[in-house]
Amino acid sequence: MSPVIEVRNLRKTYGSGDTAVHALRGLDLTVEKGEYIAIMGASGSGKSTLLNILGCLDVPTSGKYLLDGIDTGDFDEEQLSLLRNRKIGFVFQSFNLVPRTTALANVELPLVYAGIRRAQRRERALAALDLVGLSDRTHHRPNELSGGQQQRVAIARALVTSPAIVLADEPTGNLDTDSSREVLGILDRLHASGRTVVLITHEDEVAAHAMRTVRVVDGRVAGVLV
Amino acid sequence: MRVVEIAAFAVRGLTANKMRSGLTTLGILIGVASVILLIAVGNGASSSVQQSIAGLGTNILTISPQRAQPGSTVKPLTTADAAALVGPDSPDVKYASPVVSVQATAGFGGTSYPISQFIGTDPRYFDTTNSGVAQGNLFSDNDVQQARKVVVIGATVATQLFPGVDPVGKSMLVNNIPFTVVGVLAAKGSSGLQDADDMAVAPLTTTQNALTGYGSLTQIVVQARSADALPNASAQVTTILNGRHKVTGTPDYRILSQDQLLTARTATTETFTVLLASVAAISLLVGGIGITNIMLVTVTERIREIGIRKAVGAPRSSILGQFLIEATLLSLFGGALGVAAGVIGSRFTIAGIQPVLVPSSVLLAFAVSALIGLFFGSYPASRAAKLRPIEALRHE
Repeated sequence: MSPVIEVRNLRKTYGSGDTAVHALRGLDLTVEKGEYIAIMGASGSGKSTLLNILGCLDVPTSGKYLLDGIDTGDFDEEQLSLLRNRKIGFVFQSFNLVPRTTALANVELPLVYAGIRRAQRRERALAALDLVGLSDRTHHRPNELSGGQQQRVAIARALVTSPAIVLADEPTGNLDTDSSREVLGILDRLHASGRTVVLITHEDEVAAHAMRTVRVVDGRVAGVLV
Repeated sequence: MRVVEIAAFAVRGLTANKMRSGLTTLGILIGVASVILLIAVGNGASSSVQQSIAGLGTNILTISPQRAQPGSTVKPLTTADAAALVGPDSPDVKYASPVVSVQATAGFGGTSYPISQFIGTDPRYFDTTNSGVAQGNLFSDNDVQQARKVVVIGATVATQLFPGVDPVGKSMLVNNIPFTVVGVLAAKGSSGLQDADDMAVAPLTTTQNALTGYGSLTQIVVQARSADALPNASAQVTTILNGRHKVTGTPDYRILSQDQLLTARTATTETFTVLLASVAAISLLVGGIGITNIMLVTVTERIREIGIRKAVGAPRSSILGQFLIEATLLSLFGGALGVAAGVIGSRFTIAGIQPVLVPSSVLLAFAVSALIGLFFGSYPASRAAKLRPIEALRHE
């Protein structure tokens, strides 16, 4: 069986000539189905760039990225959006919920773009919100929710489409200790139920939740800690 | 199914900022309403001109002196010319009324009023121009012969100068010369550009004596025996006048039939309508630019939201659709309100003109307003759709 993520010699360069910044310099990474991986590294090491490319939010300058066995290299923007919708659940450090829109509508959003009917959409979004323990907050808007609750809505949104991978870019970076613990607990449960999770973090105790930790230094994988 | 969802996003986007959406809508509302209303006013003006000219009758010829051309002499039109037009040489001419007209200031009691047309003529003129009397009497041939200072006034003059008073029998000063009012004409209504009731009619002799002097007539108004006889009458008049004025080349007078007058006046009001419509079209354009402006602001303000939507898998087409629908809804809503405002506004008399709605202008203005949303919204919307997800998300 092919791995969920297979990255070969991935390079990403911003700008050109003397001012060019090499964020990734030939990175290799493989993530098997059901794995829970933490990516760590100093700021500027290229870990966020890596995650953005894994989430199809950005495209690499060169290299190969196979997602669920599909080569994303020759996909156009329209196919990439389909991939983001069906295969990837992305959790951001800053939550990124649509403002002035209820938690339920935020979670339903990916299902709308997937073309799923209203009744089924509602059912699945409510189930996802229930999974993150927010079934009593479905009609609250983001500005009526705490940071931890907003992040849990964001996680519900990421997993409502049953994606192949859940990517989380420092999901606890903006949260206090209690909220962090809740969010990590949810990710643990996702992993336990068989989901593939990749997260970026600065903190060792967050990384401790993962099966293995990948260290990124200067745009390359420096070491894997199991 | 998908379109409905995207339209729902668009509606939510618009209602999130009601003030801004409202003001943008107002721009289109004013544009559409003014297109409809101003075209209706122009149309109203031209139809009332047509009515008033048609009201004069279709068997009328108006002869007026031509301006002097270099190298030719102009003989004045005289009362004798008018008298010569009726006779055995011109079997198709029924009447020919000599007319002088002048602007005069009328006074009664403490008030004074400038009459735009003070006309001196003979009694046949009333018949020729379909002028009925509302109060009192018309003057007679005898009044003309005796040069009595009597006058028949139009409805506007009566209301302006004699409010609440029966003018018949009163003495009115015209350029400080006393005239006795013998009658009031029935109201004819405004012809859009001028008020047909803002006039007074006195005997020709009196008017020449007191006001204009004995120069050229302003017009000779000829009534043909019937509308069908008009071409013959015109030919007979030409022959007689050419003989009397010894015309060799271009005649020193001009004959206009009601048809020609109608054509000339219609052309004028059409120009007027086009002018009004283009002013209105400009305001519609300005409204459209307002939509572009607001949509650009909206897109810039919501770049992050666009990034989020793209990150969860919104295809380019749905982002494009959402913002296009927002822009089109703004302009359609504005257009619908504008149609309502225009239709309601056209029920009122504006500047003395009763507007007449042109149904095609309503349709056109509404269709244009919808297209404006599509056209002026497409640039901001395509900018939103082209954003790269990661760039949109990073935007602060």
